[in-house]
Order: sequence, then C-alpha cells, then structure tokens
Amino acid sequence: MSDSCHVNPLQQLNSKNNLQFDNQHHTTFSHISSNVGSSSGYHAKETAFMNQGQNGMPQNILHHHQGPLSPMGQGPLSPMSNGSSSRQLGHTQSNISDVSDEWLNQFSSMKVHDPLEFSNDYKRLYESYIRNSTMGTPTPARSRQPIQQQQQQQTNTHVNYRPLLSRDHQSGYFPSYRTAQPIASQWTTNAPLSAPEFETTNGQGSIDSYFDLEFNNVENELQKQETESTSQEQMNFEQVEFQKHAKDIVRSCTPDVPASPDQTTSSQLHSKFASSKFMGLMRKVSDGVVTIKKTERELFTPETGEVVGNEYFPVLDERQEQL
Amino acid sequence: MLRYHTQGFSGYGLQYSPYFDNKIALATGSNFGLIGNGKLFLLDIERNGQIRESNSFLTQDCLFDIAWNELQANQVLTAQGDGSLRLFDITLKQYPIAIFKEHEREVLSCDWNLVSKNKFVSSSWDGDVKIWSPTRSQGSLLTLKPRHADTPITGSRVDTIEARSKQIPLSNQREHNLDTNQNKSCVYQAQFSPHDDNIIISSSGSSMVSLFDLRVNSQSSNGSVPQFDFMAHGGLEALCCDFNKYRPHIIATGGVDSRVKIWDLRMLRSGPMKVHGPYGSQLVCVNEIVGGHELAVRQVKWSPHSSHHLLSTSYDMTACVWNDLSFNGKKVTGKTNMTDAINHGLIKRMDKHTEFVFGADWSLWGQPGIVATTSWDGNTFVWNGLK
Repeated sequence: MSDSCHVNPLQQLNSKNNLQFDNQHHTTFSHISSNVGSSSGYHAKETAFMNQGQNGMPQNILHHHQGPLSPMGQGPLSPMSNGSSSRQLGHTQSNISDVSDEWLNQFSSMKVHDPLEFSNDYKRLYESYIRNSTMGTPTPARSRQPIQQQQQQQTNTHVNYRPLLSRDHQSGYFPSYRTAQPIASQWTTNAPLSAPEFETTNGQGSIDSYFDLEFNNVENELQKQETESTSQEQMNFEQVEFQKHAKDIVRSCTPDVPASPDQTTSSQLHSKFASSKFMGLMRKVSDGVVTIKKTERELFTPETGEVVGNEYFPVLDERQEQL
Repeated sequence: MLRYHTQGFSGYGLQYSPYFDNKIALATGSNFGLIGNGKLFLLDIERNGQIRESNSFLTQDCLFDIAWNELQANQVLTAQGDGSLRLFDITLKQYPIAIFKEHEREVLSCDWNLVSKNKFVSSSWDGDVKIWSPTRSQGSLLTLKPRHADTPITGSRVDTIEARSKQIPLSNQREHNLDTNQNKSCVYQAQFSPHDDNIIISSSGSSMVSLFDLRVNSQSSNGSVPQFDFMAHGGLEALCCDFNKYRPHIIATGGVDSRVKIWDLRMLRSGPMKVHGPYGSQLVCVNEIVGGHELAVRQVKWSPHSSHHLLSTSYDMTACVWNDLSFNGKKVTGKTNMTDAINHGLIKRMDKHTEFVFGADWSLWGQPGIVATTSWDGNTFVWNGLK
C-alpha cells in the first residue's frame, strides 16, 4: 500500500519516517524499548502515543521529563511544559531523534474539545477550594475526616454546589457576613460540606432556600457598602464644592481698591460686608477652617471638631394624622 | 420700626396673614439657609408694638418661602429645602398636616391662588413649576416646564448644540465672571395672577420670565411649556417677579443685574420694543430702576393699596420702596424712573439690616404703606415704607 493510501495518519507518517529514518528509530527509542516492550520504532511510538491518554503525556517524554507537572496533576500539559520537555529531550538525544519526535509532540499537544469538561474558572476555584480545605483550616467536629476522604466527598458533591460558594473571608470579595445559623457558620469556616449530608438533613428545597437567603444577604451587604462609599465620596465632593462657592462669594464681594470718598454707598456696603457674619463664615469656609460635616447636617471646624453655627436636630418626617 | 429677632435662624420669606391683621408667618433656615434645620415662626404684633412668637415649627430642612392658605385662616404653607411643601395648622404643634413632595430639589417659592383659592403653585431648583391642590397630597395637578435659555425655541431653527455652545454675552465686571451656567434651570419664583386664576408667571436662572395659561393645552412629553417667555435680565438670573395688583398686564421682575424692571405683557409680542436674538425675544421693558440697588434684587412686591408703589429687597442689605414713575395712578405718564435723576423714584430705603435682605411683604391691614422685611441677620422689621 502506498503512503497516501494509509487511512491511519499515524501509519502514514510512520511509513514516511520508516523510509527515511528507519535506522535511527532503534537508536531513538532504544533506551525505552524495554519499557514499551517492543523493539519496533513504529510500535514504540504508537504505544507511547496511545499511553498518553493514561498519563497525560507520552511515556517516552514522561521518562525524560524532569520539570514539575501541572498543578492539577492531570490533564494536558501546558505548551510551555511541552516545550521544556522537548528541550530536555534535545539535551539527551540526537538531532535526528528530535526531528522524528516532532509529530509525536504535535499529536500529544493536540487538545480535544470536550463539551462536558468543566470551565477553567470552575477548575481553578475547585482547586483553591481543595487547597483551602487541606491547609489546616479549622473544621467543625462534624467534618473532621481524613483530608483524602474530604476531597473525595467534595469530588463527589461538586456538581450539587459550586466551589464559588465557599466564602473566603481572606479574599475580601465577600464582606464579613456571619449568620447565627450553624450551617452558615460551617460555610464561613471553609469547611467542606457534602451535599448528600445536606440533602438528608434539610432536603433540596431547603438548600435552595438557604442559597437564596445567603445570596440575598450578601447582595444586601454589598449594596450597603457601595451606598456608604458613594455617599462618602459625595460628601467630600460637597465639601470641595462648598469651599469653591465660598471662595467665589468672597472674591466677588471683596473690593479691589479702597472706595473713593465720593462712593459713599459702596463704602457703606463694603463696611457692611466687612462686619457681615455671613461673609465671615464664607471667609472661614474658603480658608478651609470651616466645612460641612460628612455625616450630619452641620458646619464644623475640622481641626477641633467644634460645631459652627446651629446644631442640627433630627425631625420626624411625619404628618399630624400619622402620629 | 418694630423688630423681632429669630436667634440662630436666617429669614427667607414672610407674609402677612390675609385673615388676622397682626399675624406674620416667617420662613427661616439655620446657618444662613445653607445647611441644617428650618423653622416656621408665627409672629403676633401686640398692641404695645412688641412682636411676639405665638407658635413655631422646627423642620428637617431650611424653609425658603411661605404662603397663607386663602381658604383656611389657620393654615400656612412652606417651601422646604428637601423638595417638599408642607401645610401647617398654626393651632397645632410640631408636625404639618399635609406634605406635598414631588420636586427633586429645593423648593424656592410657593404662592396661593387668590382667585380660585383651591390651588397653589410652587417652583423649584429642579426646573419645574407645579400646581397643587391642598386636598390632594398624593401628587401635583400639573407640571409646568419653563424654557431655559439653552433650549431651542419651539418651531424655530435654532440648533440646540450651537445654542448651548454659545455663552450669553455678559459684562467684564468681576462679579459677572462667575460660573453663570450652574443655576440656569433653577426657577426662583412662580406666581399666580391676582386677576386671573389661570395665569402664572415664573422667573428662572436662565434669565427667562415665562408666562403660562393653564387653559391652553400645551403639553409636551414631560410637562406644559409656556405660552410665552422672554429674557428679562440680559442673560443674568431673574430672581423674582410679581403681578401688579391693579394693572393686570403689568409685572415687575428683579435680577442679578441689580435692576428692577417693569413689563407690560401687552407689549411683549409685537411692537418696536421687540428685539430678536439667538435666545428668543429680548424685549424692552416699559420702565426700569437702574442703580437703585448695588447688588442683585431678591424680591419685588407691588403694593396691595397702590398701583404704582413697589417694594424691593436686595443682596446689598437694603429694602426699598419705589414709585413707578411710568404710571401716576390714573394713566401712563411716558416717563421712566431714569428720568428722576436724583433718586430714581425712591420713596424710602431701609438699611437697618446687616445681612442680605430676602423676604418682604406689604401689610394688608391698617394704614397703607406698612411693610415687613426679613433678612439673613435674623431680624424681621416692620416699618412704614411711605414715610
């Protein structure tokens, strides 16, 4: 059969390699031939390639690979790790073997799209979840089990609840939310919580309602934080604006030159301005001595904290008939 | 001259009661109305000349204007800084009997309809004028939208962007170099005509004075637009307006240009006094008082007893009573107050206030010419404006 008639691309490629580099194949894989259990180069390659599915990389590469594995310890290696493997092979083997292994590396680096595969975010969060649960964080007595067992539980139950829900107070993303419910306290301590246990104690409906409740709590707290920060910024902005307006008022009411004797009215007005309490306040505001309180509806001196002017008294926003 | 001092509260608006000859309602704000509580004072003028506080109501926010209920002798309406209007019964304590809240910013004026008496009008910093019924606190009856100087004239080809990019030409005076665009939408005052319960005028920060006729259906997407408007104070803010009580077509306005202007509504649409400009009709008034005040004019009030007497208050800390020289009480004279070279028709200037003078009102009772003024200094003076 001619090369072009090979249905199997491996055979097609191998037949070409056999023609050109038949002699070197033995050299290339001579040291692994005992492991593979075949003296044939073609067979060795095919076996190595087929075994990739089990170990995540071809066996011949595994044997020479000295670098770290992927953090997950499974799944395809990153292109960088493939590259480093190739470079390591290059140090130990001849150039000819590099050329002959190109197709193998290409095939091994091919990624198959699995529609059922979890997303990268999910994998990352799940990984951090496992890491957190194995880093000696305090766990409630109910879930003090061997780590392996806990991991096994999580692996089994991750479909029922997402690792995203394991609240991480250190991350700062969620506010420090604590509820009096025991289940909630377990969640706050990052303890692994298996869905089957949950289901048996509360039922699926209670899980859903619990999630809804917790989400609402978190959203409310986030909203509250945002509102507080926005109002603070607004008040700061108000203070700046207030000072700006005060400067404008002082500037527009201050005479450039002393009024001439014939300008009696103007001089009267300016003398009134000079003794005006309002203008005095505006001068203080423009100098930054007095400003608006951020939280209360009062003027005050930032340096001393002393209230300037009238103290504010809260008044109920009610009508007579409502009382 | 009678005096009452509201300790810690600056006066913004006052009005004589239409039912009691000795009662004055006074709207005030703490910290010069900048921030803090407001307080409604009910003042009684005693026979011995003393002014006594008969009742008061502390409010959440500063009060900027006041209007007595023309139907109920014991009810008074206040315009509050939190965007609400509140109706108080002066025989009760502490709380209002009705709250009308629809404005989004400070309510700067309120006025009760003197003809139909079951409506009142309010104007606000949010740019709206609203008509209310005292029996309906759920919401306003109607919202009116005065046109601002930067919006194109309806039906004209004035391009909006072009109009906005143009600054209204002002003088080179330093006090005019401030940011004049910030309060353009603010409607400082709105008032019902005392002659026709369907006519309303308003003055706004865009210098526009707008006339609304409630009988005309002029609904736009977000409110009724004015039937007619004009630029009253050359691009500077028009702070106040008032109908003459005897001449239905005569109004007076005051503005940041320190001028009091008197307009004849019959002469606005046509005639040689009309000047076309990029922002609409810029008209020439029938009379104006130039140089009477050194700073912006905050309020103008026509006398309830005379067709040609006018009271004005100003940021120059004075209040003045003027004689409108264009009318002698019987006919138009053809003169203006500028023809009086000496005092420009001034009858009396009251300069006892030590801060900006805001509110003023003519007494409806007793000898004509008694006026009351209130100021940011906390003083309320009652004095004779014609002597």
